[in-house]
Amino acid sequence: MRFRTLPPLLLLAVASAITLFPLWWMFVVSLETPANAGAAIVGGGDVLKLWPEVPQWGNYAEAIEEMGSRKADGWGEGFKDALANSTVITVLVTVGTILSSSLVGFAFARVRFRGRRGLFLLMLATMMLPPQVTMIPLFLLFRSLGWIDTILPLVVPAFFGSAFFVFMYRQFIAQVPEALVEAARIDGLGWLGIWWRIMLPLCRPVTAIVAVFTFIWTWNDFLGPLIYLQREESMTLAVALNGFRNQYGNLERVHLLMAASLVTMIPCVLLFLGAQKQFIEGIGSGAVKG
Amino acid sequence: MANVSLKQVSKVYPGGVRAVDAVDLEIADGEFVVLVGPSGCGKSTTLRMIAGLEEITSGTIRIGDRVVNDVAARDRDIAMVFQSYALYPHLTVRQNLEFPLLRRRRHAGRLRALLSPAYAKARREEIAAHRERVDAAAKVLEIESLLSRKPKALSGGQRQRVALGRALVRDPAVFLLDEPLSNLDARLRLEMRAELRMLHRRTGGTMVHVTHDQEEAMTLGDRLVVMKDGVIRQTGTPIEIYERPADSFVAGFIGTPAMNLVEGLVQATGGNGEFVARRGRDEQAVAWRFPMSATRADAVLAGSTGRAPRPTTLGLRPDAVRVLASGETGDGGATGASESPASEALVLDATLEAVERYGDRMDLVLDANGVRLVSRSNVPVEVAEGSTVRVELDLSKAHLFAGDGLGARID
Repeated sequence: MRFRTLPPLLLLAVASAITLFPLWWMFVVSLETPANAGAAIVGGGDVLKLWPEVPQWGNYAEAIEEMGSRKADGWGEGFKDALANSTVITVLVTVGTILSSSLVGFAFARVRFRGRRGLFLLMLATMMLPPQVTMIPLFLLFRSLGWIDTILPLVVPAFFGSAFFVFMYRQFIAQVPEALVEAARIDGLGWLGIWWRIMLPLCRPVTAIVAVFTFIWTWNDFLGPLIYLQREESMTLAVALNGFRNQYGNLERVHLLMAASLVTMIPCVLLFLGAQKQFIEGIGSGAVKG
Repeated sequence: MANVSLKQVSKVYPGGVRAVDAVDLEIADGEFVVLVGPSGCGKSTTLRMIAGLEEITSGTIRIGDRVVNDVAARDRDIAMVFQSYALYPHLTVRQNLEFPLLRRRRHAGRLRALLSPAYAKARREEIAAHRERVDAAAKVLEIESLLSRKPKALSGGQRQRVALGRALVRDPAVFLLDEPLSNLDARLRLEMRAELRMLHRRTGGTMVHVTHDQEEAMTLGDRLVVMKDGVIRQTGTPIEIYERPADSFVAGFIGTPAMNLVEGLVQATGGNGEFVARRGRDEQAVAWRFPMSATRADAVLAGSTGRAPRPTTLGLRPDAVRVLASGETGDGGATGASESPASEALVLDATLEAVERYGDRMDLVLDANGVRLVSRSNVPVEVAEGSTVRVELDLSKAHLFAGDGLGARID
């Protein structure tokens, strides 16, 4: 038994080490002095150091202090702003995507209406459009609505569904036995009730996937907030990180960039760990029995 | 509780398939009616139209005094039990049972309860009343110990009980049961059958039950409705249908083993008549013939012009076919294919093709000169398969059906 499990274990360990190394390297650089960090990047000194000579834990406090722009208001105010902005936008987008995608997916799977097939294909077709194509028209649209420098252009579209997630929900809901829907109809639920009280709870594995992906994408989204949010106070974490580069345009503060990046990653990592079980269940769940 | 009335109800699916064709049916208050027929006969569609899950193409459905053609399923005051049970997988048994009551619960719920003490009290009482109803239903069905489980953790029989409980909790005007027993194994099915009868007695509810299993239909129903191809072929008590099937389809469908249906024709012979059994598919080949009384022959021939020979199907229940012990002559009296008009029995030679033993009884599959007959015997018959036996047909128990059209009964 032991001899059989050992080789795969070793293989997995090596693969994990390779995968995790960049993360570890980020961590090491984040604890370096500015000079050593710069050297690590350009390759002047020991590039592959596994632990800094003297860990500079103070880098983290400094990174947080430097983030954003409102230094004058007190320590970490800019970071707090960015964190709040990221959180509000990400939560709204995630909730909006789940609600709208599941509702539309449910309609495509269960409600018989004229043109259902055509509309579904049309919706799938929108996935083929590269975002770069729609970027400028969308910007003009939101500008004409007066939404620039508000979070609306980032949040509102999420409440109108996301084609791929609609597709995922539709495929999942189509497998739910029809008798369940009929029982619910007899038990007094309308379409909305069936969606909310039967389908959404049953779709938990799909919802976990949608939630994790949407959260991570939105949290890390750089372009959207950069285009639509102009005031410094409304910046998100992803945009704020960029400040470390733009401000100086060189690698002098790369240790701070690494520290800030690691802090920014924490919510995504926690979310993934929390949703892991649901998530993996969802990926592997082609066959759901009612 | 309420009666259910269907008047000229039809269902035509897009594409022109006529699933149910002008069905007239009156179900009395408190009656247990079973719709039975082979798959695709329209029985489930009929039930689903009563439930409101399927729109009707034409006709009128009443529940109680109300025409429900355009009433939504949830407002028809019915409860339905599905073949697949249709329990909500994400809810516990208790929540499943409570589910149909929730719509009637005051929905504004907790927030409003915080603001208004009177409202809070009413809500508490309501929740307590619902709890009581769920507990009562759980007790009747003996699922009290399962209330906190999820459906996944239940056996088939337990799921079926929960599904029944969910119907019971509603206290509906009509219970609709769509093949509720067909996913259970044979033993459990028998058990649940008895339980359904008991439930019907206790609740006194109007029940409409759909099944393809004629035995289940016979044992459960106060009244059976036999359907085929979207049409009601016969309605009546199980005994009426067993003893006087309205046509050759019903005759062959109801009863185990199935009734022997022998195709042939009836023709006049002098003053009397005779039935000539056809051999296989061949119109001309005569397997055997038997004489029949003038009155019986007249009844058949009245349906043909000028007393011409008329295609007829002879029906004999397996217990009217008896294998004679060696040496026994039978009531027919003569040897070979005896032809004594006075007698109501016919004795034939037949080959024993197969024997099915049930312990207390046995079914014998016979070949009587090209006509397949099944005999049921309550006494052991010790004859080897493949050997020739003498068989007595009790013609006093014979049914006659027209050989054309729907095969209507001839008396």
